[in-house]
Amino acid sequence: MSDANKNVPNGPVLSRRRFLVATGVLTAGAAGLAACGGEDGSGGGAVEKTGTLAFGVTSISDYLNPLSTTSSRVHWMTESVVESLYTYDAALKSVPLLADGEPEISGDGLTWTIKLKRGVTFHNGDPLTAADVVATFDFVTDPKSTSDWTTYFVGYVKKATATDDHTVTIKLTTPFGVLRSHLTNLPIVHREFVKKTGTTMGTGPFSVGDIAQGRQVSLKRFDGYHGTKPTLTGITFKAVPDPATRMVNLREDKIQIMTDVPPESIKLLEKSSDIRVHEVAAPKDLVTYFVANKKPFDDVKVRQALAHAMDRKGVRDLVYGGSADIAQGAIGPVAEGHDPSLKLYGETPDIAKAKALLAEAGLSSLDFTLMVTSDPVLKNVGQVLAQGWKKAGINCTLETLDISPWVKKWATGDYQMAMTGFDGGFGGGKTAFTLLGALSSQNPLNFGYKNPEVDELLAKAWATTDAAERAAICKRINGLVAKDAIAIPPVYPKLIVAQRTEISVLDEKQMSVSRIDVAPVRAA
Amino acid sequence: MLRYLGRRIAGLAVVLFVVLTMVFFMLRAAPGSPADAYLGMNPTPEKRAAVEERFGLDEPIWTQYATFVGNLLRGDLGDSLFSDRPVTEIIGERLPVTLELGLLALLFWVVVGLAAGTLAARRRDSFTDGAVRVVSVIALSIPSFWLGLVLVVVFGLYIEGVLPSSGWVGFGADPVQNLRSVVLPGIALGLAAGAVIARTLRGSLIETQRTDYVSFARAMGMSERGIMRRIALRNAIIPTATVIGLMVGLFISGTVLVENIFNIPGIGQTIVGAFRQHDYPLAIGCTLVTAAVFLVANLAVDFLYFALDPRIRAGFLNGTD
Amino acid sequence: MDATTTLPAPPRASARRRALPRMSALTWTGIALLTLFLLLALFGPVIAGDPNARAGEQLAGPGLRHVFGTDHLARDLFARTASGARVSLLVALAAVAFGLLVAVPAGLVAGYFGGRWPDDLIMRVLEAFQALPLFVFALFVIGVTGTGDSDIGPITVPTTAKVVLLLGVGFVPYFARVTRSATLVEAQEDYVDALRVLGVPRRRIIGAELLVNVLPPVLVQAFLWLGIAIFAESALSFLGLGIQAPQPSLGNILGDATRYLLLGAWWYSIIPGLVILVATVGFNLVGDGLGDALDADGRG
Repeated sequence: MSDANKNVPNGPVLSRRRFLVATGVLTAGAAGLAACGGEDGSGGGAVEKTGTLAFGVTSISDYLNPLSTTSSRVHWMTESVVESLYTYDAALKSVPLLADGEPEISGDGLTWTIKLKRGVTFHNGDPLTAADVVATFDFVTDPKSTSDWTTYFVGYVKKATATDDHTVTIKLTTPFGVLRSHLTNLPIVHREFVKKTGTTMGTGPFSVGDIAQGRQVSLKRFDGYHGTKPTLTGITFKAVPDPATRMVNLREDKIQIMTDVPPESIKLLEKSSDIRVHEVAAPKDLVTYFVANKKPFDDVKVRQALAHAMDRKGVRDLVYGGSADIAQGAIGPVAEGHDPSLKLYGETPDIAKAKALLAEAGLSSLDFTLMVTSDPVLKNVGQVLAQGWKKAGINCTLETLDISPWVKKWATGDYQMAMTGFDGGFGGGKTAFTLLGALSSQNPLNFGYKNPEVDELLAKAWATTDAAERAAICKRINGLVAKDAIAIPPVYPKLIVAQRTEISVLDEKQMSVSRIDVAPVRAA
Repeated sequence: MLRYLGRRIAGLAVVLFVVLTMVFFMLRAAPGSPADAYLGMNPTPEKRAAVEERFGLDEPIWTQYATFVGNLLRGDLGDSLFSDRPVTEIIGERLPVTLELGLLALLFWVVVGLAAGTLAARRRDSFTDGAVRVVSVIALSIPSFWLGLVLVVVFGLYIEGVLPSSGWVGFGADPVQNLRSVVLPGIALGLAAGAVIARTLRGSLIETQRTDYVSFARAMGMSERGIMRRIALRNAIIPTATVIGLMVGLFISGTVLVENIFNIPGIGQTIVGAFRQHDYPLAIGCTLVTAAVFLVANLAVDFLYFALDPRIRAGFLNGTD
Repeated sequence: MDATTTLPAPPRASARRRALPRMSALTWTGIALLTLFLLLALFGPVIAGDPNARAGEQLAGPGLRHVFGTDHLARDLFARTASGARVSLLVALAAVAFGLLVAVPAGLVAGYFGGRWPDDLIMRVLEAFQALPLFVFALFVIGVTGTGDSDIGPITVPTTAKVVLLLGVGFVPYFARVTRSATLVEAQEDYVDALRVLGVPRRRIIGAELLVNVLPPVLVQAFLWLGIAIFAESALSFLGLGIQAPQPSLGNILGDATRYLLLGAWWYSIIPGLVILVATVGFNLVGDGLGDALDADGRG
């Protein structure tokens, strides 16, 4: 492969010289430097030659424990290292993986008994036992643990215990059918690794190899894997923060998979026949928050005016280069409860309606601050929205904050409207658990929104074990909160991943739950 | 001389201590504590309390400060809040990368700058001189981050495979690749410094050439080349050395930009992340190290004067300083 | 002993009558570039209107409708560049003014007491500031105050004020060193001794006599630093630490533009980059010219 790399015999050297002349530094020293340049030694095709794959991500987290966070950045690295009790099959149906069959649920719905598969071993050779599952549960149900996972379990799961080596009993405080989905997402980690931050150990097809702090993480094939063994011998995750550099690396075949592809560069990448770009509808939400117990957003009409004057099309076309869907309601196209028939708000600002609603609320104009996290995409979203609102006489000041001060203000309700991006696939899977959770009046992050109907429906949605029923309830909640304009994302962004075509095609179905399933990848 | 050395080193220690104190308290005054960054979108009060206890943030600030200074005196900068690794270990990994890049670039551009400056001064008002002056003014005005990006694009997209357009290979892993990965970031980092050095040297050379002893040497029939080498260059090197010392500061700032653009795992990349996450120990550690590098470099320059300039040396010996 | 410390500034005495015509050719170029930049900064925004308004196609190349093309959010790049140039210029002027205001008194005092304890004290404090590279210092201050607006008195654009302060403080050590060097030389002159003998109060010697004589070279330096200030502002904004969106500045336009460089939107990166170049080259050349004029005047 990589014939493209070979057509650079003399030309470039000449151009380099010309460049040095232009900068006025072609001296003895520069000639010395040019000599270091030499011919290119790096042929691509690492996958073919060594069976290893390089994965370019924006940053390598200092954590490598998938129990500490639900962030995609960490889980992309660990998804082939650790496994869950259940997993998504090719059609995204949840099927047993480490569990031996479906859970046995008591009549009152408060006790779940799960048998574990036998003959599964961790990377160090230890067999998978109920003690490991219990250790994982102890960690994520401890309200003091700093894990993101507590959101999904604390308050619902009382305790997990080992009945015998291969049976786990989970006691609940209240019927909690959505747990079946959470068990598809929660990784089971070796009991001694539950609290470690820098590394992890699971039962997956790859084990953690060398870690270069913040720069690179290598995985190596685990030969004692209980399932289908991968053909790759290793996977390397490289941190390449700058998107342009990441793209160049992909073209140079220094990496074979690139995440966080800027939407505007899809077209450029697609020009290259060696590169394939996946644009997949996935739980990659823009989430909006209002402080609904303070002026001006305590009035539903003001929020609706904002929703009507929102330039959704502008955001989709200008910020996402068309690679996003116009949003109506909190729940995106792949999550349970999405409502494709919902059409409350226009694609372009409806200025007359917005002005009328503001007038009804007794306001002649509206000034507010939108707090976004300092990410280039969110900054662009904020700017486009502000321009759209301006047409309706709504003056939006943009406040861009780093994640830490943003969270501080958000968690204390010290904002008017807030927006950030949230990748929910590894935590919530297909459910809208995290998207809708904060809308409950019981949630500590709810600032003044109370709709008794929503509260009641939410309780029902999380109690049922029937996914179809849960989806139907979530759909109703989605409609209610869209009408109340309390969660008004402008668009549903897509997960964009680019790969080189020398490797087999990545599974887009898995991407729709945020997974980039690397384990089955082969040289194509 | 020794007394002077002692005085300067003591001064350096005081300055470092002031920097450390400033950084410590200013960071703690910042909105957004490490607990916020650590907890992300899931900040319940219980968790916050647990994290603050773990990070020692629940203690009174003076206790935290005393603990920090005490540990520092034992050479312990604490552990990074986010990776639980000792800060000294992280710095030990990252600093050599930055130093290698910085020193190689500095060395290269000092040589280029000196050569260009000498050439321009010797052929004053010639075409070469004009070219050096015009090019150097433009060169010192090009934003390094912009140049860096242009280089990444040019060498990544249009002239593929000649030089690595990003990334870093350790010297231990592959010396040749290591040197190749220095080239482009080195150009972006040092171009402006090279220009400044050339301009400074040219100016000082022209000035010294007008001094009485140069006229005398010329009158005595000494060749222009000899004058340049023996007299003019020796005197002109002093202001140039000052500028080189100051360039170290420019380089340190430059590495923050360049390391982020070329994806080089040095102190510059680390420091940005540490400040953003409010990783106090790591941020303070990196800041102290950068400050120390800068101060030591300038101290070295001051001693260079001493070695170079007989007048200053005489001043010391007579005690007139 | 670091008395000779001056700045990345070009040495002054390079001009003599023989070199004058050549010199002024460069100076004239500088004046022309600077005029161009000032015209853009002063009148550009008036002609172009709202820099945040959407004005047609996204990433359209330069043409008749959009002289500089448009940006990624379909805004007119001429309007944004002009408005950004104005912001950058204001920031540079204010930052240098702030730096001078603090640095000149400090440098004068240090220079007057050259070698004694006030000099030592001032220089060590300044060194502490200098020990923090500007970007580290910036990360810092932005970390403390946040990237958003802060309440710094009744200033219309608070973020801008923050950047001004940031750069201004960063410049103090450099300006103070220049002032100190000039004062050290000046303080040795006979007339200063004479004034001292005559019983003129120290405050008057420093505040009036020395100041007047030290100011010209310091101002020339300050002029050169306007170019550096524009550069520094653009670097800060490029890193996302300076002027915040939607307010354009040359740096944050460039920061945004880099994401589109690979997509062939060369004008988006090249034009604001060139404007920075024009400004900094202009300030440098004119500053050189001023320095030469001063030299020819003062000693020639």
